[in-house]
Amino acid sequence: MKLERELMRGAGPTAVLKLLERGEMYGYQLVDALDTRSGGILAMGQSTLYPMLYNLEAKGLIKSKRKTAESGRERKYYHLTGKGKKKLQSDTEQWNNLAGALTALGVLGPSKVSLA
Amino acid sequence: MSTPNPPRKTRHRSPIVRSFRLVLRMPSEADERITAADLPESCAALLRTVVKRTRLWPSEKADVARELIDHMHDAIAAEQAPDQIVEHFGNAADAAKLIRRARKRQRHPLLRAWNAAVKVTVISPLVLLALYAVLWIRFNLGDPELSSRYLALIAEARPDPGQGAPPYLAYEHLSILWSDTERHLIENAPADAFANRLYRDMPSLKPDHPLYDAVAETTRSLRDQIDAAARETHRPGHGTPVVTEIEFPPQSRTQSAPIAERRASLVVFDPDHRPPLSLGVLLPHAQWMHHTAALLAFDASLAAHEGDRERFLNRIHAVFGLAAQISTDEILISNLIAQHFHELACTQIAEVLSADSQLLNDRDLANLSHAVAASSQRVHRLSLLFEQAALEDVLQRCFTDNGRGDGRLINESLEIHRMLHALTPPSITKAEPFHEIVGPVASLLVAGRADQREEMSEVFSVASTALQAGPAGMPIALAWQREFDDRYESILYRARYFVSATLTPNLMSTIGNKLKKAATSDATLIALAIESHRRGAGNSPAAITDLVPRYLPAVPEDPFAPGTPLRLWTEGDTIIIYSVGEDGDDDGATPLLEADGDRADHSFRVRWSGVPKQQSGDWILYPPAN
Repeated sequence: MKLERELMRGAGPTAVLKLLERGEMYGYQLVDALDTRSGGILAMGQSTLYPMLYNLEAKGLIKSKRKTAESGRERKYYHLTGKGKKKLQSDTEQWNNLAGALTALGVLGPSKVSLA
Repeated sequence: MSTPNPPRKTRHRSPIVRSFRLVLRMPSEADERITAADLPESCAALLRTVVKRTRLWPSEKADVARELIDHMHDAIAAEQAPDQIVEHFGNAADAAKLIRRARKRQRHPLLRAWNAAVKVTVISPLVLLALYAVLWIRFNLGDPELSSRYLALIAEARPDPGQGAPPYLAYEHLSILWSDTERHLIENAPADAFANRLYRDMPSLKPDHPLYDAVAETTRSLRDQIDAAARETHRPGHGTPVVTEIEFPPQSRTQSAPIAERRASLVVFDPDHRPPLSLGVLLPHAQWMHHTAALLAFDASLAAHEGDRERFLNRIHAVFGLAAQISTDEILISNLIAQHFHELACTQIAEVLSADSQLLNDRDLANLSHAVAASSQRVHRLSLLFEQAALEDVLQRCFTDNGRGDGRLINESLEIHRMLHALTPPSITKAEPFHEIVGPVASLLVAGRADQREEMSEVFSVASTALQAGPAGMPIALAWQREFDDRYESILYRARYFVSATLTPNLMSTIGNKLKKAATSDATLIALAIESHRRGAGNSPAAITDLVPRYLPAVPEDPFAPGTPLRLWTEGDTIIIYSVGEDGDDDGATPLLEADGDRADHSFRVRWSGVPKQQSGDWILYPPAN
């Protein structure tokens, strides 16, 4: 089950920032990770991912750099900036509060997926 | 399995078109990258579409293409099928739009500002130009609907001049002869010789004026023509209905153009033909009559100096005749001209009474009293009926007609506006590019036909009320004029109502002027009555009431002190007849003096707008100013 567009617009950037918290990643890696680690719920195509990455970059939350991978292929890698880390922290807090509120209301049950 | 593309039709194109297309088709860096990436055709086509639709700068497109290619290579390496990759990509159009927005945000702020400035600079004028083009078409393609036939109304009221040549031909002849002389005199006159045009100043010229002798000589040389014109003034009407089509050269505004260049042609009015602009036919012979009246009045003055009683009376009655003729057109401007002619005659009578009353015998005094009273009744009866019809005619030409009495401003208004502005015939003014450019835009601001008419109607309504009230109408007229002036101070009002504000004459000043001129006429009657009283009783009356009823049928009312008579101040043989003036205070016959010691001119100037400034001091109605 995929998220509705509006929910994705809110959750997607936070998910991407979270993924980049662990280290730099390139586009396909992000698409793959979002799909597999969210059980397909946060799966997004290139048409959604790249505009999102460009927006995050424009806001200074992430930065990109072209690098040659171990396979010998050159790719554009994204990594979190200091500003991005703060934003992730703030978003995480807000999502937790929201989840807590929705759980308290009985909207949320036990989580089926984890972004661990 | 993919279906082969159908063969493309080849079209013959010129070498220029082919070269142009070749330039346009030159592959961009992004295209080259996509081609070189060796992706499956469906993936490559998708990328080309997305990248092309982003409409980004070439370097940005190349960067986007490179990243998306990398992504697709990764997907292929992960053993995804091309169709699957395309399906997972998402909507190409949405992607292009989102990528474009996001990449533009990544541009340097200075670049973004520059981009915005370029857009504003390039696009705004284009948008404005397109808007202006629409307005221009709207403004220039509008046609007026001439439903109000003012000419029939006017022509119907004009009296039949009878058999023979119409009177105006004698005036025209005299006017042409005079104008050539006038031009010669003006060209050779000292710079400060005239406050006005010569023919306007001429009736009040005194023997000490540097041009008096020259004007007197000219007048004597025109004696036969003046006699002929004087005879014509005793006929009814002045030969209408006709339409005057005057071709003036531009310099004739200064009255210095040779008369031969400003001949008028008279065309018999054809009711079936599209009627010309009302203002073009309302003054068919005014200029010629003006010249004739000035010459007659000056010749009356000359006759009085020469002691020629008979000629003096002939000229005075002729001027009254001219006033009667032009007042048959019940148009405001004709009324005003009639009042002016009447005043000319009254002033000449007053001059004789104050300087050499013995020129006139007792019978002359009685006859002149009758003539002044009869003419006064005729010329001071202001009617606004035709004026309103004439201005309605102007209005209907300035706007379209939607059939419900409303409409928008159109091109014809410019010509009319220019004509009104210059107070000259329309053929004088050439198209002025500035007005042509501003006109379409102004049409957005200017109030519609119905609103303009409402504004004009208000003026006429107040003016009619003021006119019917007689002297009591003066405060009404002045109060309204001041209120209008407050309104007129607003630029927005002037812009919205420029048509009605320009069209509507200053009726309030006109009413004030009429009362003043009527009072001057009354003062002449009083002066004639006083002279008769002196001859009958051997002394001057102590008060104006002493003249009633033997020498005067009733006591004339002071226009600025309704219900009270005009004032009389006497000392020995000196008498002064005066009104308390605009301020309503009786200053004991003390006039407001100009800086040079001359009596202030209290006449309300007839203007198209503006409030007459209230003046202090009394209005000295008799004797005339030196």
